[in-house]
Amino acid sequence: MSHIAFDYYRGLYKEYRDILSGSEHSWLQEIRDEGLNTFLTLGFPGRKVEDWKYTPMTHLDSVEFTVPLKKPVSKAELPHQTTHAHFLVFVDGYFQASLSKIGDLPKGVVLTSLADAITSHPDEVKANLNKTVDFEKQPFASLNNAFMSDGLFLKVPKGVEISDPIELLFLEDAEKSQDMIHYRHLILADANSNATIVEHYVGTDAQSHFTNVVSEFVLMEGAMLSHYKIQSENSHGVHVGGQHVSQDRNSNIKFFTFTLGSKLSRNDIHIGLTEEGAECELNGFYMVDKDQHTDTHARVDHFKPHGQSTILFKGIAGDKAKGVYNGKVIVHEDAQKCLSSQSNKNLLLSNLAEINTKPELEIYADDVKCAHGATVGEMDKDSLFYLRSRGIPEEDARELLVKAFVEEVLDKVELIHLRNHLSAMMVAKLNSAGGSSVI
Amino acid sequence: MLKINNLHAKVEGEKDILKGIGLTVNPGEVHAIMGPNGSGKSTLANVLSGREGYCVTNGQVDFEGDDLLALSPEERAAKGVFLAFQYPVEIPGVNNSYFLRTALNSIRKQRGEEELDAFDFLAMVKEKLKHVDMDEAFLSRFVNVGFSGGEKKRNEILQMLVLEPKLAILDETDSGLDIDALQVVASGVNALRAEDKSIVVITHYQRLLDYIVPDFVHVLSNGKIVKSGDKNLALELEEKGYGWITGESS
Repeated sequence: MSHIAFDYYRGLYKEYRDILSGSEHSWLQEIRDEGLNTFLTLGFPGRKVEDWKYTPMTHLDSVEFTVPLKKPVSKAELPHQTTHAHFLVFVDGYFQASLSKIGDLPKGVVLTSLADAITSHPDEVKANLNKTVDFEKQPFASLNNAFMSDGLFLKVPKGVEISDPIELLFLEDAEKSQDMIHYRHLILADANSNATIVEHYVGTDAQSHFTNVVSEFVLMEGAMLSHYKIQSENSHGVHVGGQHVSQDRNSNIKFFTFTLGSKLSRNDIHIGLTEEGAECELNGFYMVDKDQHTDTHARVDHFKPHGQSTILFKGIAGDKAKGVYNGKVIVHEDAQKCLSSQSNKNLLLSNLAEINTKPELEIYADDVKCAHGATVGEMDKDSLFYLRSRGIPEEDARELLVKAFVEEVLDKVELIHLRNHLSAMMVAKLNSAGGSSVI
Repeated sequence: MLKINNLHAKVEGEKDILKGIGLTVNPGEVHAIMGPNGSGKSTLANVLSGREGYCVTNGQVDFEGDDLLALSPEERAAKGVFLAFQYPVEIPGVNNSYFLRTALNSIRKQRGEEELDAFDFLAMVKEKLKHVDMDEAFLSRFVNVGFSGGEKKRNEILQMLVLEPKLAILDETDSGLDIDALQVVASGVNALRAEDKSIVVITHYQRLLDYIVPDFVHVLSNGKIVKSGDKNLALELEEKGYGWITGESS
């Protein structure tokens, strides 16, 4: 990282360190200090770092991002409403209680903002924060450690099921550019609990932001969690998300990411199946056009026997957009009898669009069933003609085929309203290009 | 209804395959176009349906007063032209019923007619399914995915019956069918026959014409219609082969 950037972040940190939430806790300040130091050592990653080869971030060096402070928000109309009982709204980095609603919850459930949890449940935050992430190598997670101030805190106690999905809205509504927003989410799912979380990242302004999210999920024995992340921020900013999951025996996570927004976005999903019989399912799609660039990195570590992982990502790129996918499944020596499949399929809608995909598999055990594969293709001309010959206009036929392409993923979305919402967002995006994104 | 005049066409970048076809199809008529492999049968079907990659170098095609060749594939469908494909494509992710309803409503919309809701559509399509001996389960499957050869062809005929075209062109619909499937397909086609509807059956073999009896039979050879007659011509071809007309041994 450049000297200028180095000095800039040091100065910025000095300015904010003692006014960020929870700054009275010395353990938190230690995490922050260490986070800043690691970040200053690593800097924004460039092409030379293998994991960032196709998505270098060194240009962020030259931007003087600022950290917004919590301000009162009086917003009558939100871009996204919910029918669910629990709806938590965050604006420009901070939880807004007045815009949120939290319905009746089973006894023992803690559903609040991280800023609040640091005060109300400091021991639990302290015991779990930073436990699932390998910070030494992660510049964005380190930066998040330094500047984190708010996010979601959810604790589901033993055996408790939260039947209604918990829906979260992270809204960008800034008046000026170059806000740097660090959300930090901590989700603790105790043994045999069950919950569903839906995260929406939405931008209603036209400013360029840098959103840097770190989510940590701890699933104890037999816990079940469905998690959906839908990112449709405006097309000017940068969105980096690091999702880190630790799974105990027989736990099960269904993890979805859907990326439509941002000029530059990166999603890292790291799942550690740390005990026997743990299962994870990772699904999602990314859909980019114009000059968007998106990168999905998924990694699953099978540490113990009888685990299962299923990965399915679909990508659609139009105009001059670029999509990057890298999925790595590692089956460690002890992880016998595990099952793993990985698939990444991509659809190019223009001659200038680009996809780089690399599904990887490393196996150190000898009795496992694993498969992985990837495809990149254009829209099938014969299918298009077939539909048109039956009277379906070209634009509708293309829309139908794009929807058909992601059907396999959408079909796995268990919340019907969300499936419809995603389908509508996709169609709107396809049509917003006004035909220029297609061949 | 359909007037083809001196039609010349080729696959882009190659030599002419159709070398001056003339054919008039009046309402209510069934025409069979027969011919050996490579005579231009499928090219004719593709040109009439508007498939990309074909290039008309001369001639006109008039469909009820419209210049058919100037229309997009979807406009041709809306005008009432239907092609039953020789090789129907599989479309994973698109439900058969949704596809059929979208197609029908697209056509109705282009014609300025009211769209059919899901309920009315289902009632109508269930009736049509009987004609092609298909189970309702076919509706909820993806278009042609995992269908046998015979099921794909029956699905083509089902689409034809739902869309009710004025002119149906069947491109080698009999290829790869066993005799039972052939009869089902033929009875589906016969269900469409009416005074105001025309059918063009393109086939290599006579046997389909036992079930779909044509008013006229034309022999296509080397890109031209070299002989026309009634249904007896097809029988003669079956007996003697194409050689005596085309001047080649077949």
